[in-house]
Amino acid sequence: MSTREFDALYAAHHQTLYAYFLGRTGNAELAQDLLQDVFVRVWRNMLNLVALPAERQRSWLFAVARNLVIDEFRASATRTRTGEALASLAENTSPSADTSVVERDLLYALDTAIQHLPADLRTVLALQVVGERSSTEIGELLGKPPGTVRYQLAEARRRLRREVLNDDN
Amino acid sequence: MTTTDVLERLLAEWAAYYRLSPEQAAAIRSEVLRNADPQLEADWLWRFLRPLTALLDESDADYTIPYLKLA
Repeated sequence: MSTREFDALYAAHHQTLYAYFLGRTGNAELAQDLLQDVFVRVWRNMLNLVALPAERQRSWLFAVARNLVIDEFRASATRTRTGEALASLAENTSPSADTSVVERDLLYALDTAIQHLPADLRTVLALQVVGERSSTEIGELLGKPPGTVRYQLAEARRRLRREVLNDDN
Repeated sequence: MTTTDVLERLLAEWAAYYRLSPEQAAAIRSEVLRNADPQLEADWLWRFLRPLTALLDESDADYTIPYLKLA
């Protein structure tokens, strides 16, 4: 099978889907695994998918993604995989060469605070800042009104300011 | 600089760390295609060629290979 249509779908959606998985699971490695699982299903269903308009392709992709997350949560009920979460940032990297120690500590604190956000808030935040999606786009992907998404984004930031920067406003 | 500004700067750095790099994205794509089921490609080829094979189905020609006739 030609990979042209597959590559077009992959280019259009991989970063958003990854951001969704990152938000839902709080685990970058798991998010990559789930992204791979989605596109294995895409490949297996290319004949049907190419016949769909773009909007329905996206709906199909996110329906698969939601189901994979549900399956993963069921499977991991006895594991602690999601508990490992985003703390990999602190273990694996110095964010950038010119980042000061104070800034780095803040970044680690932010990573931990994001990890402790409720999954709904973490997901909209990840879709916005990692997936680079707008409130309207996030609402379409998650089946939520844009106003709800904007409220959740504001609430996520309010919690992060409080946790990381001791700002209670 | 307000706490809002600081948070936005931190979030941008956090996102840059977690966003998939082109190399990571390419590796995942390759892994998907590497694990693709060859049977699916055969199915796709069969459906692709179906208009031609349908013509053969409708003809009276005998395409049985000789050793099967002998059997």
